[in-house]
Amino acid sequence: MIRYIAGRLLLILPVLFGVSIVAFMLIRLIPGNPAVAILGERATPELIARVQNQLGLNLPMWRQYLHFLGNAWRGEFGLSFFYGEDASILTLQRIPVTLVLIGYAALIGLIIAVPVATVAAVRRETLVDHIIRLVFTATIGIPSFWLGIVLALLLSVRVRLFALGGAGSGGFDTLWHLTLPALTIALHISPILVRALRSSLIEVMDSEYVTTGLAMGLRPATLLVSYLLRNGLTPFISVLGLNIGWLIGGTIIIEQVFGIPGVGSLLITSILTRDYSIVQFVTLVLAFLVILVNLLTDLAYAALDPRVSFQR
Amino acid sequence: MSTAAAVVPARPVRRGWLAPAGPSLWVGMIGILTIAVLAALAPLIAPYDPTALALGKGLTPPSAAHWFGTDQLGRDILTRVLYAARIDLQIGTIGVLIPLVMGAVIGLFAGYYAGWPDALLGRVIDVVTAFPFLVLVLAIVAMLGPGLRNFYIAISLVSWVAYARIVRGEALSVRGRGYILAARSLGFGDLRIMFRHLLPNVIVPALVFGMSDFVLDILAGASLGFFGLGVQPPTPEWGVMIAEGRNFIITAPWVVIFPGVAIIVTSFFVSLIGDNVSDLVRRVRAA
Repeated sequence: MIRYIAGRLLLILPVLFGVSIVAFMLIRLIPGNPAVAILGERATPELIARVQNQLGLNLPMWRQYLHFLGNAWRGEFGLSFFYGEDASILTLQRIPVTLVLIGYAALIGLIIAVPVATVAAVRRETLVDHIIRLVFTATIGIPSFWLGIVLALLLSVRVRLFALGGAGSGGFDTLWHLTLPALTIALHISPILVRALRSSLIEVMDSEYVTTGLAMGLRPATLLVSYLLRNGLTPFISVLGLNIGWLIGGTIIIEQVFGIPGVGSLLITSILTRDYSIVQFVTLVLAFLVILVNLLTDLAYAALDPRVSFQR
Repeated sequence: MSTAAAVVPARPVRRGWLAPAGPSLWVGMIGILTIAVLAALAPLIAPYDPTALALGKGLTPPSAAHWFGTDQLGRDILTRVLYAARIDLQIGTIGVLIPLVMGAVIGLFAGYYAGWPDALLGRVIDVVTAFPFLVLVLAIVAMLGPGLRNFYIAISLVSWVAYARIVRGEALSVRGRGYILAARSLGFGDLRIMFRHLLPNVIVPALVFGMSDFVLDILAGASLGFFGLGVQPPTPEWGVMIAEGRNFIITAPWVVIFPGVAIIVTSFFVSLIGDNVSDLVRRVRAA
């Protein structure tokens, strides 16, 4: 187990290195002089020279990258020219709301997906299964921003079930404000979750030990809980981990639609105000989040399924 | 049922609506074809001009004259939904084709030569997939500037990795097969073996993935349009239309509803085809 964890951590290093290169290259994609683009056309030559120096734009490329790493090590990711603060401070302040929203959405997603997928798998190839699959084929194409607007209209304006906009004032108020956005994100990811869980449950149902259990005359309820769900849910954890990128993408859009002050709305606003250093840092942070979640799912998977850590 | 199914009696043959090559495939194909024809014929069949303003007639509800109603500037929504279909179908098509070609060529080279090109590609795939798809696309568009052309550049830079991963995996498993060795012993050049012998045998899973990628690209394109980073107004695009109608959602919900439904219906047809074809491929491979 310890060897497995150590090996898994070692594998992350090259990915982190690559991710930092991509984040570094982003600013260099700006056409023309990035310093001018960052400061705007009316900037004084002195100011431009200062930013050029800060970004290390006069150095050769590989030195620019080392410069970037050095700044990053000191926690300096460049000033936001819109907010006048360091990009890293601005972003890290906004991370908790985003994490709560992602977790909340994942939870609601599971609450929707587990029963639906179980019914579909148990009643495989019946009318119920076909209806479930058709409905979730249709919902995969629902744009999350559209769904957010429509749900807000139906559940916050027409029926005053949920609070609308913002993140509330902490505690239960925050939960109440985040419920509709989290529900929207959950509906956005549920087709993928249902599909993955259904096929992993079917795989278990087709396995020989389930047939044996049936032949031994186990009650269907026992079979469902201790055979199917236990073995079908383990791969489901990694499915949730694998789709964390999809979950984050939905969260970013929904934060902006509902005006939630998280990392996602910061990203969209910063793109619109051309606040490049924030865009760069948020991109980096979200990639780290994906890597971290994938690591945690792998470890959880190994802890739940002893077969994993003995492989390789 | 198909002969492929008859060879594998162990699994139950799927019948009914969702059967491979069954009705759902045809519904999907006819549906998406209808949308494509309607989009192509938009200038002929659309009742109004997509950008002509009629300020006195803003936000009128659906009626005989305006089936889908009008937006805040009095533009006919049915007309704009039809014209937008041209842009959004183009987004899906280009968003699949460029990354498919890039990914297939790169994946083919890595899978055929194996060794260090393959190891390098593996690292690149790990890095790019560490970024959430939409976040990386947004970040690249943020740097390049808004607009459809830059969206295509961003999609190409990000999506090719998915295709390369699929083709590379397939190519790695096929490269040792007899017919490749035979082609090599006949003295065929590497390029000829790769594109004439290897490619036809490894491309199908990538094409199947392209179907679901088409839906992802339309959703991404509409999201960017919605935030003002994709297609620029007054050009009609479904995401842009939803953004424009957003402020009138309470008094005139039809402005937002119809373009959204257009996205859902289009995605649904493409997903039906994609699911069906992937079932079919799995079945044929199992046989």
